[in-house]
Amino acid sequence: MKLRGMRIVFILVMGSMLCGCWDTIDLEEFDICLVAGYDTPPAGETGKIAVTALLADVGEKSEKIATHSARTVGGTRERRAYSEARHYNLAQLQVMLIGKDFAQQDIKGVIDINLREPEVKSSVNVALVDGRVEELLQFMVEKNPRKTSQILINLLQTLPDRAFVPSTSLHELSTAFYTPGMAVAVPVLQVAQNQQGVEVTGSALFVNDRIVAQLDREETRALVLLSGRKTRGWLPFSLYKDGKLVDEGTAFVDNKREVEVSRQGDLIVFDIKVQMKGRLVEHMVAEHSSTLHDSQHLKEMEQAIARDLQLQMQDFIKFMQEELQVDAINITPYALAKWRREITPQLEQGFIEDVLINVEVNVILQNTGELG
Amino acid sequence: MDRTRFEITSKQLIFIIVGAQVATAFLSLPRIAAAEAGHHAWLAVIIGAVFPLAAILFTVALLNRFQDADFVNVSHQLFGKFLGTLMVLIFVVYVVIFQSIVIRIFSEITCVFMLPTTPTCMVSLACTLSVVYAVSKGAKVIGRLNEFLFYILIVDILMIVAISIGKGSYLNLLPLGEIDINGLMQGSMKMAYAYAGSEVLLITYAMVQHRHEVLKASLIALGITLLIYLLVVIAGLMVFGHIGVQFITWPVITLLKIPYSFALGRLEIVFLLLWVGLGVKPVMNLGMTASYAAVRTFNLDISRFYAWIALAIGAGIYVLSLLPKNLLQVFVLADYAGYTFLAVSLGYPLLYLLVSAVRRPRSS
Repeated sequence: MKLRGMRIVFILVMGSMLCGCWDTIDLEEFDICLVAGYDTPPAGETGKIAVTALLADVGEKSEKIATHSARTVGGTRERRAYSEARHYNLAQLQVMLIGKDFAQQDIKGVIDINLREPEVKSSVNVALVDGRVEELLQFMVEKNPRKTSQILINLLQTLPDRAFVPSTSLHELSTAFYTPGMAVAVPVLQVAQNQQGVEVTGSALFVNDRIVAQLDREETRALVLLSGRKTRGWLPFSLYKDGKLVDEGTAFVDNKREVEVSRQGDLIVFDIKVQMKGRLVEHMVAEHSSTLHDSQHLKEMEQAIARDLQLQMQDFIKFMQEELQVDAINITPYALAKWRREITPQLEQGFIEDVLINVEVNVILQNTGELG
Repeated sequence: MDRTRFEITSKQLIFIIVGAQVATAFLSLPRIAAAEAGHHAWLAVIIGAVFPLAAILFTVALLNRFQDADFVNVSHQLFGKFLGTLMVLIFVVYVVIFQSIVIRIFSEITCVFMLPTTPTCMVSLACTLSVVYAVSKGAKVIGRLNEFLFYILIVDILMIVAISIGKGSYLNLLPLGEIDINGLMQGSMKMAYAYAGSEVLLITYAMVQHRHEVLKASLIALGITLLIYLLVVIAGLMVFGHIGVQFITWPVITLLKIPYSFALGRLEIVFLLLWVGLGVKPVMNLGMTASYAAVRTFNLDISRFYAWIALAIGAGIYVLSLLPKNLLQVFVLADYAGYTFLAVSLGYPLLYLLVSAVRRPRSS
C-alpha cells in the first residue's frame, strides 16, 4: 500500500514536470511569422526600424501583414505585444527581407536578434527589396492573399537551380560580419515590370553591416560564377564570324570553380578556372541544320559563350578591385590557407586590390538536344 | 540487489568511459578549443588527450598491483581506515559537485532550445530523478544503457559530419604550419578538461570481469572519445572558421540550424531529442561510481542501502545544480571543475602509486 502511494506521488511529480505544464500553447493562439521585413520607419513614425511580418494563422486561410516601428527589433516586438491578440512565433520564419533604405544604414541589429533567438533557423533566406518591404508585401498579399509566403519562399530557395543568382542564408550573411575584407551577395527583389508578381533584378553586396553595391543580372552572374556558388541556368549566346552573326541560341549549364593561388615575389596571384557544363537547348542556325552534327561548330559555340563570360568576369574583377576593394568572390580563404599569419593583418587595410586575379572559362556542351 | 549487478564486461567498460566523457562539453568544444588554439584547435584536441591517457595508465598501473582492486579497499590498505575513508569521500564530493554542473548545463540547453518557459529547476529535477532511477539499478544496467545511448550518439555525430562536409570548407583548417605554440598549449589544457570522466575507471576497474582486458578497453574508449571530439571540432572549424566559432555559445547546435531540411524541418531539434539521453550520461555513470564507493566505504549492505545512497547523491547533485545564478556563472564553475578533474584523475592514482611504492600492499 505504502509502495503504491509512493508510486502515485512519483508519477504526479513527474507528470507536473512535463513540458505541457509550462510550454503548451494551442496552435490557434499563434501568429506564425513566415516572412519578416525590415525598413526605415514610415514618415511620421518614430524609431529607427519598422518590422513588417507576414503572418499565417491556422484559423484563417489568408495571410496578413502587420508593421510596427520602434528603436530596435526587440522594441517592435514589445509594441506588437500590446496590440496583437496572438503569440508571435518565429520558429517557421523562412525569409528575411531588407528594405533598401534600411540596408544603407546598419543591419547589425537585425542580424543580432535573429541569431540570438533559438527559434530562428540559420537557414532563413535573406533578400534585399529594391524599395520598401512593407509596400512589396502589401502588393503581394493583395495579389495572392493565400500564397504570398509560399511564392517568396520557393522563389528564394530554388533560385540557384534556374538562374545565376545566389541564395543567401542568415548564416552566410552573419559570416560576412566577422570576416574582414569579405562581401556577401544577397538577391534583390522588386515588383515585376508587368505588375503581376515579383522578380529578381540581380544582387546586392553587403560588407559588414550595410549595402555597398547593387549589381544587375549580368554582374550577378559574373559574381556567382567567379565565387563558385553552385547554380545553373540559361545562357543566351551569339556567334559571330568576320563581324557577321552566323548563329545564336541558348545553353542550359551548371558551374564549377577551381582556384589556385601562387606568388610572384610579393604579388599574390589567383588563377580561377570556371567550368560550365550543360546542353544546348536552342539553336537558330542561319545556314542549315547539318551543322548540328558538326563538332567544329559546337566548339565555336562553346568558345563564344566562354569568351562572353570571360569578358564579363574580367569586368567584374576590375570593378571589385578598383571600386569595391573587398573580396566578393570568396578567394581570400585560398590565400589564408597558405599564408594565414602574413595575410590576416592585411585584410582590414586592403588586400584584394593588390592581388592579380586571372580567370579562364571553359564551356562544355555535352549534348545538343533530341534534334541534334 | 546482489553483487553481480556490479559486474560489467570490458565492452561495457568502453561505453561507460565514453559515456562519462562525451556529454554537454562537446556542444561547446569547437568554441573553447578555437579561442586558444585558433585554426589548430583540432591539434589541441589530440594533445589534450595526453592527460586522460596518463590518468588511465596510472590508474591501471596502480590497481594492477592489488588482487582486490576495489578502490575503497585499496584506499583503506594504503591510507588506513580514517584517511582512506576520507580519500573516498573526497572523490564522492568531487563527483557530486562536478555532476551538478553537468546537469545544470544540460538543463540550460534544454530550456534554451526546447522548453523556454519551463523553469530550469524542473528540468533538472526530471533529469535527476531519471538518473537516480538508472543508478539505483546498478552498474550492469548502466553499462547496457551506455551501449544503447552510444549508438544514438553515432547518429548525432554522423549528422554533424554530413553538415560539415556540405556546408564547410577545408580551407579553414589550413595552413597546417604556422603553429602558435603558446595558444596551442593553452587550448590543449582546456581540451584536457573535456576528457573529464576517465576517473570513472578508479571505481569501475574492480567491476570488470576480466581484469587483463581493462587497459585495452580503456584505451579504446579514450580513442573513441578522441575521435568524436576531433570530428566535432573539425566540423565547427570547417563551417564557422576559427574566428566565427568563437561568437557562438554552442556551435554544434548552431551548426545543425544551418542546412535547410525538407523532411525533418529542424535538424537541431532532432539532434536535441536524441541528445536528451546523452547529456546526462556522465551524471549516471559517475553517480553510480560515487554511490557504490559510498556504500562500500561505510561497509553498508548493498541490497538495502545502495538505492538510498544513490537518492542522497542525486539530491546533492540537484541542490548544487540550482546554485549558479546564470549560465556565465556555470561556465566559470565548469572551468574550475576542469582543474579539479585533472587533480583527481591524475592526482589520485599518482598519490596512491607513490604510497603503494613506499608501503607494499599486503595482498600484492
